[in-house]
Amino acid sequence: MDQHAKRILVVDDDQGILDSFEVLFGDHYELVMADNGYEALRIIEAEPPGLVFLDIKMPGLDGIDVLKRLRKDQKKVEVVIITATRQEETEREAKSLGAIDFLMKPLNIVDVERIASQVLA
Amino acid sequence: MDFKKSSRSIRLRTRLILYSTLVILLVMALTIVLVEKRQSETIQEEAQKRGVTMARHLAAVSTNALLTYNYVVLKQSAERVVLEEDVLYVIIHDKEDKVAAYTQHDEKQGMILADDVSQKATRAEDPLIQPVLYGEKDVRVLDISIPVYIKESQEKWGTIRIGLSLEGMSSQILKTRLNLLLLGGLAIVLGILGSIFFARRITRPISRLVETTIAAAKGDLEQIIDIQTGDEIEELGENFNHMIEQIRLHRKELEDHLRQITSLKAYNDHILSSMTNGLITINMDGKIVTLNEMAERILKKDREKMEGSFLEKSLGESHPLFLLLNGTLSSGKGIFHSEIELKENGEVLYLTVSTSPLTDGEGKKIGVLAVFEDITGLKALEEKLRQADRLAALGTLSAGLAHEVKNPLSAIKTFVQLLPKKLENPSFMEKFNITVPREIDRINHLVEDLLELTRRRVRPFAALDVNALILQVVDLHGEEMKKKQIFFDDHLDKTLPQIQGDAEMLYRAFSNLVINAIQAMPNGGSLRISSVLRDSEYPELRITFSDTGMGMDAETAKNIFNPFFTTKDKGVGLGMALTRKIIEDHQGTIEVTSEKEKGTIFILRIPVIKISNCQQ
Repeated sequence: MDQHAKRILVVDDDQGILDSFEVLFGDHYELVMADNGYEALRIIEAEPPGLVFLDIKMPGLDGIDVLKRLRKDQKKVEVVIITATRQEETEREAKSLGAIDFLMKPLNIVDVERIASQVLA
Repeated sequence: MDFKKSSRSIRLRTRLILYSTLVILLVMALTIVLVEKRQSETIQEEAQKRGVTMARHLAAVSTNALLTYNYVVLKQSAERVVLEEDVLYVIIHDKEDKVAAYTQHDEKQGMILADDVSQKATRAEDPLIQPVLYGEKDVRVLDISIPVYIKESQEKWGTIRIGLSLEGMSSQILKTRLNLLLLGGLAIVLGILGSIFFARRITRPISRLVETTIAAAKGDLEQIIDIQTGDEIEELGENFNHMIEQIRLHRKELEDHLRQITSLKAYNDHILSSMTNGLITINMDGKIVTLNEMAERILKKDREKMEGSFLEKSLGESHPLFLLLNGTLSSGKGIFHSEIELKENGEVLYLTVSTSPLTDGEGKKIGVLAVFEDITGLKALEEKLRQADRLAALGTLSAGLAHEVKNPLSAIKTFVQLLPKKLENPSFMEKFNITVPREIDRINHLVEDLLELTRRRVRPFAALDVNALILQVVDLHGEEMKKKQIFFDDHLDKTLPQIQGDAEMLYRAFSNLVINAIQAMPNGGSLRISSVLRDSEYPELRITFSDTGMGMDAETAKNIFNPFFTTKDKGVGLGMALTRKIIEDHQGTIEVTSEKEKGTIFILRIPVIKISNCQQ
């Protein structure tokens, strides 16, 4: 299936984060939610999104693991990391694995909206 | 000791020689006397017999001449006889006792001799022998007289007298005596020589025996006595050899023992000196008996000065080490790993000390032993580790806190930022009203839990039934367990006594443990909960939660009670930290053992607090 230009995948184990993306993008983009890494990979395989917001700290497969798997499978997806803890090492690793940006929680909707519009333009 | 031949005693050989010489002398003397007497008698008898024979012969040939008073013939006969050896004189008396012939004195022919001897001789009717002294030289003579009878009548016709000189006999006797003495002397000399020889023969092995015993007594046990006399002395020698062999074996045994003891002592000394712990022993008087090098180093005291002196004086009466040793000395009870602090010249030393009473082989108390270790370095390291642990825990806590706070904050921020734009949007407002308070509540709960973790318990304890609490918790999660095919294995001891505690907090702790177990068994399994009373001086409840779930690795098990440490899909990671706090608030302990793919066991020990203590 072709990559959907307007489809955004949000991956986070926190319901509040998913809810906030719902109210932010629900009216403008096609939103898909996943609360774990496995679900995220399944969705990316089945219906590739134009942009992925990916949490780092998740039980099971975490954000970094998802990035590694994507690189291994040679999936070309734009990924933006969203995380609560700033760890330079994690940020560097995420970027080296192809993440295009690294956003800290609490998220600023201006940054999120800007990135979405830039990537999905 | 000085072993030697006694100087006062007479040597056995001398004694033997003396005794045998004496015996020989006596025997020889007696023999000589007896033989001499017998010889003398024999010689005398021989002489008499000869005299008598000569006289009888003369009488026989002289009978006719006497009958006829033929003095010439009688004289001739007498002259013949007097030529015989030792015959000094021959006198023939006629019937009237007148001298018919007198070999030495012709002039006395026809006279009657008036001397006593002649009178007795002429009057005798039987042969008569009279010892007399004859002549001017008083020669000892036997005067042998024989009366002459005619066969047909009993009438005496004359007397024949022969004077037999005893000088020859005497010289013969003397000669015999001399021979006897010579022989006797020779016999005595030979006897003495023989006795010396035999004494030597007898005493030589004895001397050898004596020499050997002296050498043995002086310590030379390498002697073997070789006596082959075939008698008691040989037997004695053999026995002595046997005895020496025994002594040698005993001595060797003793030497071996001594060597063992010496090497054991060296070994002990070596152990003592190479021990990395300090060691002091004192006797019942409180005097220091042993002090090893490490003790010397730790206490910074001079060992030479301390050993043998009173511990109290050496260390001072308020020295903690002295107090511990003294305590054990008076109570008889040892102390295990007591930690003491020594302050000296502004330097602080930490020691762990163990003491125990010392007893001898028969169980009699002989003193006290203390072993101590300088743990100052260890203490410092421990402190560093604790600090590192604290920092790491703080790191985990901060990271956990950040994660748990920032997620709801992020949601709230998004909703709030969108609010001005979407104020008129009822669907947004509906979501706003649900999400924002919920996220705020999450933060609030987190804060509450954190506070709970650090809060001191303020609610008083009350009597409660642990089993009932556990069953309530299991009941609450019954539905979920059934769904996940988790079997509840009830091992609760229904006879448990009530304990003093905070029911609400314990309920929460048990609840956390049950939730933990359920989450560890997503594919079903069994949760076994047991409770049992350990009755002792300090009775305690022992409650275990065992699941057959996925288990944890050692690292996870080690950290499970740290705040924000979680491996679960849901939850913030404060559950186990809180559970531990609750159990510790009840003066209890909680431990976890786990094995990957096998399951996890939580063991809780809660003391049964007595009513009087329940107000904490």
